[in-house]
Amino acid sequence: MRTTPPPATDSTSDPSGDITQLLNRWAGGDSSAQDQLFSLVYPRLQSLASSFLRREPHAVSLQTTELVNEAYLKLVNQRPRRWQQRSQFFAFSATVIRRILVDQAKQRKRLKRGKGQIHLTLEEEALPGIQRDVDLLALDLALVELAGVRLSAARIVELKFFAGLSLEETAETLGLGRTTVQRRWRFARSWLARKLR
Amino acid sequence: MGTHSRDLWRRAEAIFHTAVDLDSEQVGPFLEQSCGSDENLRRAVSNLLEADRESAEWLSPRLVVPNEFLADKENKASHEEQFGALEIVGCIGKGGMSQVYLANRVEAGVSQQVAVKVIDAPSRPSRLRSFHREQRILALLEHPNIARFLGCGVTQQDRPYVIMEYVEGATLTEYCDRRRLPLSDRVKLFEKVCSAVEHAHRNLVIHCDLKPGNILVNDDGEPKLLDFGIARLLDVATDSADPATTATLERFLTPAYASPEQTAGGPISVATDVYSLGVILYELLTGRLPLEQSGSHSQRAVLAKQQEPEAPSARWPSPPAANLSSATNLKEAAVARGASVRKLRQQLRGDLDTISLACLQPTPQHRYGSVEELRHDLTHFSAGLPISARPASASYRLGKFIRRHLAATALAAVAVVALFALVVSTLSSSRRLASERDTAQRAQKQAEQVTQFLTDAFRSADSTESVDLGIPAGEQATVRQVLDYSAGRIHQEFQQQPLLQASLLQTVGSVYASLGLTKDALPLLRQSLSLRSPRLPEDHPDLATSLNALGVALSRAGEMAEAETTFRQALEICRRQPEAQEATILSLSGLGDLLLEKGHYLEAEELFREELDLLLAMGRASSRQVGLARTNLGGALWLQGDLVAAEPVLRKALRDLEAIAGDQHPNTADALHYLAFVKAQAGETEAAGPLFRRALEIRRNTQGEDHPDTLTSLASLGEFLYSAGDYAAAESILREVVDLDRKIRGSEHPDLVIDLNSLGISLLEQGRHQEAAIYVRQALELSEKIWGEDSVNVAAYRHSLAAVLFHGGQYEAPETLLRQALLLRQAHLGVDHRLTASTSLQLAILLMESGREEEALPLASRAEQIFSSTQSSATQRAYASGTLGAALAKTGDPNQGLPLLRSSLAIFEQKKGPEFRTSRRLRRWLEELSTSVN
Repeated sequence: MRTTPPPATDSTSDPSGDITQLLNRWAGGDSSAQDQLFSLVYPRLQSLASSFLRREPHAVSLQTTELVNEAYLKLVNQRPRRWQQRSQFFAFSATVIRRILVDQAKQRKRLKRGKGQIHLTLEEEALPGIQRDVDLLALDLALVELAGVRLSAARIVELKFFAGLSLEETAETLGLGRTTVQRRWRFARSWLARKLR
Repeated sequence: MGTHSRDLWRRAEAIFHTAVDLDSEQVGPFLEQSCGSDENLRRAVSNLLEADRESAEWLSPRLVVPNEFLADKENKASHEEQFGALEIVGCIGKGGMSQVYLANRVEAGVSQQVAVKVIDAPSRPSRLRSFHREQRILALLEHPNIARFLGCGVTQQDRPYVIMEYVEGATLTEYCDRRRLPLSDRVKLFEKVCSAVEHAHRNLVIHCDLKPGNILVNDDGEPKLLDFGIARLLDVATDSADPATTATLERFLTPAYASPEQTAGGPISVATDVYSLGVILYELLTGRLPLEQSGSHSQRAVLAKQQEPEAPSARWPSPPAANLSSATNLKEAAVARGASVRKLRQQLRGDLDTISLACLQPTPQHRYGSVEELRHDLTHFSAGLPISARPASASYRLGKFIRRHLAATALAAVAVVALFALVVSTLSSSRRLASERDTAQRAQKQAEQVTQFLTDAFRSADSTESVDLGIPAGEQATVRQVLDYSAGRIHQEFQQQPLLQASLLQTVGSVYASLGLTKDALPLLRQSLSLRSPRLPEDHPDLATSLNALGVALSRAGEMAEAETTFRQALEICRRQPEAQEATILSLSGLGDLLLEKGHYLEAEELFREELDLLLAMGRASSRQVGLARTNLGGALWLQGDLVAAEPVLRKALRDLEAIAGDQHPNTADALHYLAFVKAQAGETEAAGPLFRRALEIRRNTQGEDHPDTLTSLASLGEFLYSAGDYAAAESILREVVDLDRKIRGSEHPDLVIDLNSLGISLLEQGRHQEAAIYVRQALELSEKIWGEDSVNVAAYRHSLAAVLFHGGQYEAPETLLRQALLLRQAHLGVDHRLTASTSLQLAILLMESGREEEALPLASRAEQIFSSTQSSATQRAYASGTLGAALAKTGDPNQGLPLLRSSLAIFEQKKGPEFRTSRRLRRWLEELSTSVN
């Protein structure tokens, strides 16, 4: 048996190495990694979104996917980029975006009630792909319930709706067939619509 | 969410998937049938359906509103026009009446290139409703050879526009000439064009402007038809009474390809497109247009109305008839068709002349009545080519537990069953033919023929007298001989009745297939399908039946990809034909089996549930098929790691099958087999052993020693012995299995991968690393070859090779392999899957042994968590908690870690003995830690 430990992996200096490792740990089910990932990815996505807006005040073509893509390039700047890793990042970002948007919705609600002064870093306009007539808070709750019926259906909504992935990308990320995703997406949408009505 | 509600919604989901594709009038009866008296279920499905209707666009990302439009600077005015959610990239075409722009349409984050055609004629508001109706029809037009219609609208400047799929490629004629395609390939390409037009016609869409420029062929040789239905759409959207508009629309037509009635402003019909297709075919064959394009519009129209053009073969005259300059042109054109002028003349004379001219008749009524007829004739023409039946591999089987109706030993009984089926199916199909053609006498004659045919076959089978089987009298004919004889006679005697021939071929082919004689089955089944498909409407249930039979034979032959496509086609037809329940069931189960094999367990589960629901709705609760569907469903659940859900399903299946099929039936063995797996997985070795042995015994008795299923059972027993710790016994069985695999299934069979791996691992357990590595590496390489490197199936063998190498003292290579395997499993199976956990654990152990405890800790912790929350073997759980304990202890938490490590060591010593590899490892960890603590 080998007794000398191999050189410790460099994890503190390079944020991309950090993210990669965290992603691996997260996908391995380590919940502390999830919190750390969140604290890395969440502000990054937020600030990316607002810098987009500053750069091109009238650019409305920003899509969640671009956002996630850019975040991916900046955070996980690593070669070779294997698709698994990209899928993993997308899968994770979907969760983050869902959280960002839900948090925003809560903040807006509080603002409306006139409590506190919160600086909105991520304008909803930054995510024009997301429909504004959707009650995000209700949707968030309904999704939790849907996950109890069919976990994959809830994941599909997260990826398609929140992360803006295409059908193919969703299928790839979840390792499901394209038809399955399509059919399940339709079911999920109807299920949620019924719930939110 | 309670289990009850969860189950309700899951059932509702299955029904919803089917119902959502039905026409509105079919929905009611379907719900009636599938929900029965379950009011809650019906309400749930109805709610979903209603929500589906109302929320079609809901949650779908909106298109992005562009801020910059045209790259085309000179056309500044258009900048202000609203293109909805499109970003215009540039102008790619300008016609007399329209501009075509290339645009990006961003949907769901994916940017898709589309073509936007803006028309130079004002739209007419009063017609907008029909405009919308028309566009809905076009949106439904989905065919691989038709560019998708994506939408249309009216710009702020009141110009109608149409958005279509953007297609890159050469026009049909360019493509053919550039590639110097011979006539036969041109005809084949043209057949595809026809099938697209046919599809549109069936959806009541007429093209009205077919021409080579509207048919683009991509590099793969797939043609795409553009502008379908646009003429009609514009006709509806604009005011044709306005003279300016009329002029525009007229310019829209391409006179050379327009039918006489079109240029004359007469009524448009299917025959209009037939005429244009005729012109295109003519041009493809000869390089020239049927009528010389001289004179004005109206002169040509008059000409086309009066005369039929010269036959295509006449366009390739022998040298004396052609003058010098045209002879050079001719030669060039011939070279573009890869043949000499003389050869072309020969090829065209006859069928192709006839077919072309039949399209180009001046009077619509004299042309082909439908594109289908045209294509049918072309297919006939092409059919001179031999049918490319692929040689079947030596292996047969794949759907591990695909329905088996026939036992190899009971051959005589098989013949009776098969021929009885033949009588029934042929008689019923001849009745159907009768109603179709309304010629009862002919049907009568057919029925007599079939009866005679069968009587002969029976007599031969009985062998009281031997007809012309070439078998000595008194000797019993085998089923094989009867079938060979029947197949020969079908070919000879039913040539004049292709549909009857098709159904006879299908029956005989299916019997071959069920006997495992796929090499004989496939050509017959393919022929049956190719006889039917040009003659029946695309949605005809018989086509689904043909496809199903072919799918079964293909999966038995191990041609998985083609089998899958075939079943999916069948299922597609079935979904449009809800009354074709039998075919639907076959498609569902066939496809489900394949997906199970392929590792798409979730989709397989869904299909089996649908099959089960359908069978129950059909009142077949106590049929063998329900037992089979349950067995497969249980298998799918087991493969997803859901042991808790799988067991009751399989128990119920086993009980039913024992009652219906008896305890000596291969299907009963299937259920036993899966149940044994579930038990073994749950660590209930005592219960699993007898189940495996019983399954094997049934198979040996009913299917014989050399049957692929018996082999599968034997392999499973070997694996079980391995998991029960009897490695030497496992090794000897698995060596036998690997040899049999190569003999029966061939050298590239998925089962060989599994068995090589098992053999390797059983060697590993005996400490024979080097031998083990040889077999496991073979398994990995073969798996990558069969499934591709990114398939989840490959993960198992990466994991396995890693384990072997690691035990042989290597670290780097196994770490890479394990990380790859882990990613694949996380991505495909999810983070909570026990297989993912198993790879995490292996990686954690490797990291522990490399002194990287910090990295090992989260992996071990996760594995432990998953193993303790899913059903897994006691040793697996113990190994995970022991590794976790060691990792905790080494990273500074001995108080929590050491007890875990100690108790896991105790479990291993008790279950596997103190000298077992893992016991030794755990003990070593414990000793290291104790010394370092002290």
